[in-house]
Amino acid sequence: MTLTVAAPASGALLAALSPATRAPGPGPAAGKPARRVEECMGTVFSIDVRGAGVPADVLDAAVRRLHWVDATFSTYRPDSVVSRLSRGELTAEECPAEVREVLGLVREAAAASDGYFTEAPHGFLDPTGIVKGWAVERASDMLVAAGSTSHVVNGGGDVQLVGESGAGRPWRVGIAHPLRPRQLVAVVSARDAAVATSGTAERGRHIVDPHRGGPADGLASVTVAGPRLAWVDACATAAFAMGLDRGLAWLESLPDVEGLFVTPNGRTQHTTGFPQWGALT
Amino acid sequence: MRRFLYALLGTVAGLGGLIGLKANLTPSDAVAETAAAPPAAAVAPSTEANAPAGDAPADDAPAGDAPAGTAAKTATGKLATNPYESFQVKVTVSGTKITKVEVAGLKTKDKKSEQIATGALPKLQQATLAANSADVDTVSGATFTTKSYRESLQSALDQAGL
Amino acid sequence: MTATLNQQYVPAHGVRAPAGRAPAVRIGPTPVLVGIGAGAVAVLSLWWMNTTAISGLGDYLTNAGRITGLLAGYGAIILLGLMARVPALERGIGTDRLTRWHAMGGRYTVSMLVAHGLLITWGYAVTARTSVVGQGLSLIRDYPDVLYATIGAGLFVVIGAVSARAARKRMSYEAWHLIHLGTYLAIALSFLHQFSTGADFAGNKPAQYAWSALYGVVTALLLWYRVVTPIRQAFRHRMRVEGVRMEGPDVVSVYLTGRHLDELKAEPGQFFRWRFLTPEGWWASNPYSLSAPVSGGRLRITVKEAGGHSGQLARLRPGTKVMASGPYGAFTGGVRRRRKVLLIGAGVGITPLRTLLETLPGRPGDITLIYRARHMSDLVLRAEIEEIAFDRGARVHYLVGSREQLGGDPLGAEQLGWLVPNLKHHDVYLCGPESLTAATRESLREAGVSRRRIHHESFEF
Repeated sequence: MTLTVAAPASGALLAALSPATRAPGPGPAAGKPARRVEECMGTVFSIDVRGAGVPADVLDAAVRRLHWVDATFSTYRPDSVVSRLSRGELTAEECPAEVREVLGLVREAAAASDGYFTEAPHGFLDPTGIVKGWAVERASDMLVAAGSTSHVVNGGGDVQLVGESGAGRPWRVGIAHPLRPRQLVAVVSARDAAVATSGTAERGRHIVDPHRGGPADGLASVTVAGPRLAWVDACATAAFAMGLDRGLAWLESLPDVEGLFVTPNGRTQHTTGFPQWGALT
Repeated sequence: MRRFLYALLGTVAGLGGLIGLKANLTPSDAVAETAAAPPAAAVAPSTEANAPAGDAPADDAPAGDAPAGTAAKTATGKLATNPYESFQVKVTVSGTKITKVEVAGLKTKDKKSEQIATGALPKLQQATLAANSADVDTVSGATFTTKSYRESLQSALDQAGL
Repeated sequence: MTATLNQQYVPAHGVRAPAGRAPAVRIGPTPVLVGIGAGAVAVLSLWWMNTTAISGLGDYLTNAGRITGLLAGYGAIILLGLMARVPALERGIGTDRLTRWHAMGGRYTVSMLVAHGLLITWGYAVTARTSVVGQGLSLIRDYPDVLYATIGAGLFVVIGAVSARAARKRMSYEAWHLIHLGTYLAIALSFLHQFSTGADFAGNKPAQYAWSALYGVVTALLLWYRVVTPIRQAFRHRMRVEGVRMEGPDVVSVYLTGRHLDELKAEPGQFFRWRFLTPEGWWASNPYSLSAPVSGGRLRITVKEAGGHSGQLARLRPGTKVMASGPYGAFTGGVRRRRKVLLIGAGVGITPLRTLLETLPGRPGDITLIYRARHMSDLVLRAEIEEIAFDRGARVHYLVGSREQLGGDPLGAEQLGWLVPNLKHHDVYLCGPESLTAATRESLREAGVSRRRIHHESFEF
């Protein structure tokens, strides 16, 4: 496994690779606000850097990072690390540190959620429930390390926010309505937070048909807000699998996350602390 | 009063006739010109090299795009297909607003999909507005694929920002 | 004194009839109806060309909603156009008929409007599998200008309800008129959503231009004929009250004078809308017919004192300024085709008939006047009428009393046939309250008078 990075950014990148680092490193050349849209992991990542910004090559590096994660963790690629790991061709110790880190997160999430979040939802190792959110979090950390004080990284609907969107104005995250295409069910306002939404398989233009959908206590979507995305992503996935009553209770029991549930007939319910994060539209 | 009732009855009959006729004439073959969602969806194929994602028109990017902010143009793109249907969506954009959406060449396996696709159109027209009027910076939702991204709110926001 | 068909009659009491002149422009009902129909077809074809696919209940409903919306929007502007007081229409179709068309069209348009709102909401709800109420709220909240349009629609419904005959009887004309003015606001509020949310207009510039042109033309006509023209005429003619005369206990004639009155081209049988600029009467504009031909720079109206306003007429001081817009009405000699003429009037409807009696060309025996009243004291301008009739050899019949006293309906087919020999070969001019004119029309038709030979004007606006 090799990781090719552009030389000037390597220092910042290495600093960012250590888990849970958020201390901003020495900022190199002048940064500027920028937006980037990149197709990766079968979805689309949107990056919006504001405020002081970051140098363009840092943004490039973050994007390349995302592709590396894709190559490493994708279960659609038979030669990816995770695929080989799941076939037993590799042991965990032989995998990159990041893979172990993700697997560790997966186990934590599985334990905390009584198995509703699982590392093998389809019978084989598949950490994709957490990888995207984790990748977004890492990319966000890279930008912070390069001096960004205000940005949002959105990976296919999982969002990590840093700072605020403008002077005194928190980031506003629209929560897509799972039943009405291109409409919002709620708006979350936050600084330095993460928002992830879990729903049934990709909707596209279709509107969920409650008569074709899941079981009676099924859900159309669950949105979770909290401080960091990998964890929030896992919570959303687990809560979705739990269904409305159990998921609601479980999220209530967790101290630092809040959630919003949407049922297939459009009803919404949220944890008691959710209104501090956002409001229904 | 009587004349009024006759007029109403006549209108109902006329409505039935017009709509029934149009329903019978609903076309079912593909149309040559293709179209897609908001123009210049800045989605470039991923490469390891320095592809500045966002402005390189890739091979699946629309021909004849209208960058946001210019006069009304019609955006074109590729045939959208999925297991349930294939059709083209033709979108007219004025500035950053979608002002008209048309669907052509519905080839559906499923009557329901057809009716959902054409029925969702009135809402497609106003979607950007919904995002703008709620004044959000980004959108969180169940993971979309690249294709469905194009019709998503996030895509509209990205267009407006890029 | 005899008069032949080709000679203008000069009445004994010195009021000269106007010399014959080429008739002014008239647009008859048929071309107007054809035009309105053609417009409706154009509107429907807009929908037809814009709709590519329909399948499923949601689509049926939504498209029905779109069509009814288009019809409502078209209907609304046509209704305004009818009331724009375009002289060619007033002369060719007649104010009362235009008003009736407006009333019928109003009922239809409001129905289309309500249907539009309901069908669109229901159609969207079916397609999106949401509740109708939720969908309705979403439409109002999230779609541009729909909130305004909904307010406009509510206004329309209120105005429509208030304009129903039952409601109108219970309120003063002034109150009703004020509410009715809300129509302009309702139309303005609804206009925006037609372009921003209407599927047939979105992105369709040619359609938007054509629609805007239609609305623009009607608005221009309204402004010109209802606002600008009265002001222009006021300055041009400088009408003033010359004097008033009580014709009877409840009846007052007002004499008006002004400059260049012949430019008005007022024909006998027509009416003006009068605005007397007194502190108490300036804000109302009421229609009264000319009760004598225009001559010598003088006009006359004769009004029965019904209600507070007319009481004010008796108290008008000479020199009071008057704004008069007009002339209006198709109730003129221009529509006459037969040599024999029957004039039937009741109540205040006698005033235009008295003018026609004096000026319609005719030989002795050609003209008959039937004057219907409940009491002798209701007979207005009786002395003048008898004088003119005597001079012209015209016959006058007074039908005074209630039906019981007269032993039946004096204006039934049989009675008319008995009173007026050769009734079938007459042109009939009929003027009075709506109920009376409607019933008499039936009688006349029953007696064999062709519809096209019956000219009527009703004074209930």
